Parts: sequence; structure tokens; C-alpha cells
Amino acid sequence: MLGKLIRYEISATGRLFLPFYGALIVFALINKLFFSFDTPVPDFIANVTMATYIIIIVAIVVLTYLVMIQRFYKNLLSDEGYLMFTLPVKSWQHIASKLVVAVMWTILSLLVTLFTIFLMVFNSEMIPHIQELVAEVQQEFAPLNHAAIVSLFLQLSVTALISSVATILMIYTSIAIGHLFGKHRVLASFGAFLGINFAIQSASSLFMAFIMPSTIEKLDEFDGAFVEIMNLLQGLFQISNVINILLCAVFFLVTSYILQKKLNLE
Amino acid sequence: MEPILECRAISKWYGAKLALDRLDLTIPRGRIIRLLGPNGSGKSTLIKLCNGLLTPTGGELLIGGKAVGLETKKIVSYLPERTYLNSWMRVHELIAFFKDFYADFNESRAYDMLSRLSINPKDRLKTMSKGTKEKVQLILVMSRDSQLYLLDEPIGGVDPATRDYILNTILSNYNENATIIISTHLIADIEQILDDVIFVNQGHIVLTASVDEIREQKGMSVDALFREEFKC
Repeated sequence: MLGKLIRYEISATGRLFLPFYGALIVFALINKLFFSFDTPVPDFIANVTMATYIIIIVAIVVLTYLVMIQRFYKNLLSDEGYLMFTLPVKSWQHIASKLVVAVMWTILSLLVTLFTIFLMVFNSEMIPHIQELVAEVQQEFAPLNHAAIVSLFLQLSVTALISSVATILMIYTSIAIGHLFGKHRVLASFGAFLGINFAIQSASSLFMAFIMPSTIEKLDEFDGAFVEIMNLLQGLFQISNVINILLCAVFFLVTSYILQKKLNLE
Repeated sequence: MEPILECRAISKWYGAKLALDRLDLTIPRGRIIRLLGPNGSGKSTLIKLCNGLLTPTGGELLIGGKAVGLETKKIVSYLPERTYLNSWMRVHELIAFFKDFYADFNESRAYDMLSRLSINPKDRLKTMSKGTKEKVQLILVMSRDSQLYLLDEPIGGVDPATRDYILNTILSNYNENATIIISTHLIADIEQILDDVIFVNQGHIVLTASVDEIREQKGMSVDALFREEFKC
């Protein structure tokens, strides 16, 4: 059933994202075309197409959040919830399907944007420059071997992924807590979001206050040794991962509990 | 056979407002039942509780002997009093959706009814009139071979000719062991298909009787009895 829910979630949201992706690629191509003309295109036109391209990127970021919120609130907790919650599926499957698809669009939006940047700037003249850049990076990272760079990149991606899952689940939890109120549910959701955010911020600054001084001392001792800074960073990633995974678990359980035991559709 | 629906002292509060007051109700299988009551009497609340869209404040509600949950949702077919389908979906996509999630969905019956009511399966809900949307919803709900149908104001916006067709459909698709609970204000129209009537008022059950009993004992139609009971 989870697979089916995910499939419907993709088709419900894809019709919103795909046109934006298409537009982004089209404008990237137009910009690329303008770059490649021998006689430069009038500034005005080139500026307009570039600005449009950037506006579409901003729109995609906004859309990603908007759809995330709207699909959870509208599809589950307003009129459409009458359909979703009479389906023979478990409440946690609704949350999981929405989460998986929201993460999927977040990653895809990022990839499409990177792809269009590559599309615009890449041409044959750049190959030597890129080689130069790669060589430079390799020199900078010389103390690390190839595998270490790849593993650092992977860790960074995993940390980013886990923290975005935590953010999405935090939004879901806020909306679910808002649903516990009889009236002014949207306002209550917003309040819950601010409240959770405040609690996490306070806890993490408290945590930092304990950890950071010793870390900064260590940094001084390192004397800029690259490998040790990398190790330190990896340590921080791991701590952040553990905390975020715990938060994810709490958010998921709370949301799931509310949808299962406290559902009261208007 | 165990009753299809059993309410044991079920209560529902909305904040400080009491919607259902320790309601006890047992509904057997194989009946067509009319749920009657003035606006705000608790009819929709009761139906939503049966679907798990609301959580009871107190008491117990069993469907086919089980607490409302995954298993009961498989055997309950529900028509809400509002438009609840995604308006961007086409009718054939909705049919695929229902078929995907409900094992008891009868696809060919749905397409038959659509063609009888000249609804194009390729149309989007968005482009349909209110009445046509209601027809689509009713077709989807009645195309399931469920054990309990809960129809909340099902024929409000539908023209009389379609109403007749839909009532016939309800009757002809009616499985002997299934129970249909219909909540509606449009009274005289469906009296001929009813077995029982439940009168609800202010969160209480005022009267449970078979239509024959009402005719014999009180010498009046359900319609007339309703007007008398709930005289303003």
C-alpha cells in the first residue's frame, strides 16, 4: 500500500514540479545560446532571460516548501482527508509516502538546478579550465587520498539528507499539533513550528556552548593542519546526524500518533 | 450473526459543545436504514466516527465486531456530504485509484453506471457541475461490494431522474448481507426502499423503528412523523 500511496503522491505533485523544471531548462538553454553568440546580444535581453532563470530557481525552492506543506495539510487534514483517511492504509504510511516524495523533489530540484548551471556554463573552451580547477583542488586536498575525498562528499550528502528529512518531519509535526486545536488550526500549526524551532535552537546553542570552546582551542592547536580539520568536521557531522535521526524518530512518532489517535477532520 | 455496527455509550464533544451523548446503537446486517434528524443533530458526527475521521471522546464503536481501523475501512464504503475528491483528477484516474486501494471495487460496474449517466471517463472533476460531481462520487462509492455503506446526504444536488436511477442502482447492487445507512433530508423520495428509520436529535437517539411499524402503529409516513417529531 505504501508503494501505491507514493505513486499517487508523485503524480499529484509531479504536475506542479515538472513544468517548472521544463521552464528552467528552457531558460538555461536560451542563456547559453546568448553566451555563445559572437556578436553579443543586447544587455537588456540577456539580463531579462538571466533574471527569469534565477526567478525560476527561487520559485522552485518556494514551490518545494509550499507543496510539502500543502500536500500534508490539504491532502490529509482538509476535505481531501475524507478520501485519504477512509482508505485501508495505516496512518504512518500516509506520512511516509508524503515524506519520501517531498525528499525526492528536494533532491531532484537540486539536481536539475545543478544540471542547468552546468548546461549554461559548459562549452569546449572550458575543458582546460576545468582540468586546471580539478588539479588545484587535488593539490589542496593532497593530504587526503581520493577515497577520503569521496567519503567526505558522501558524508556531507548524508548529513544534508538527514537534516532535510528532519526539517520536513518538523513541518509535519507542527501541522499535526495544530490539528489538535479546535479552532485556528493554521495559526496553532505556525505557533507549534516556532515553538519546536525555539526548543531545538536553545538546546543546540546550549550544546555548542559546552562543546565549542574546547573545539576552538583544538583548532588553534591544529595550526591549520588540513587532515585534522577534516576529522573534526566529520566528528561534527556524526553528532549532527545522531541528533537529527533522533529528532526524526520523535517527529515521526508524534505525527503518527496524532493522525491515528487524535484525528478530528472538520 | 454479529451486528455490522455497534455503538456503546459513544460520546463526542467539540470543545465545549456536546454532539453525541453516550449513544447506544446496534445495527444488524442486511438493512437499509434512514438516519433522520434536524441540522446539527449529530448524524454526520456519527457517520464520521464510523469512518475514523473523528475520534470519539468516550465510548466504543465497533464495525463487524472490530474497532474502527484498517480492517473496518476495508468493509465500509463512505460518501461524505462534501466534495472530497481531487478536482484535477480525471474520472478514469479516480476509478483506477479506487481499484488500487479497495479490493472490493467493481470496475466494470463503475463504467456501466458512468455510461448510463453519460459521464465521460476522460473528464476532469474540475470541469463538472456540482450535480455531476456528486454522481461520480456516488458511483465510486456504490461500485464497491462493501458490507456497510454510509451515505451522508447523497442525493442533495442531483436531479429527480438521476435520483431515481441512483436509488435503483442502490437497490440492484444491494447485497443481502450489506447494510446501507442513508442520512438525508429529502424524505419522501426514498421511503419505499427503507427498512428502518433512526431519529436523532441533539446527540440522542429519539426513535428506532421499522418503516412498517411507523405506518402501522402511528398511522403516518416517515415524512409526516419527522415533521411532527421535529416541529419547530
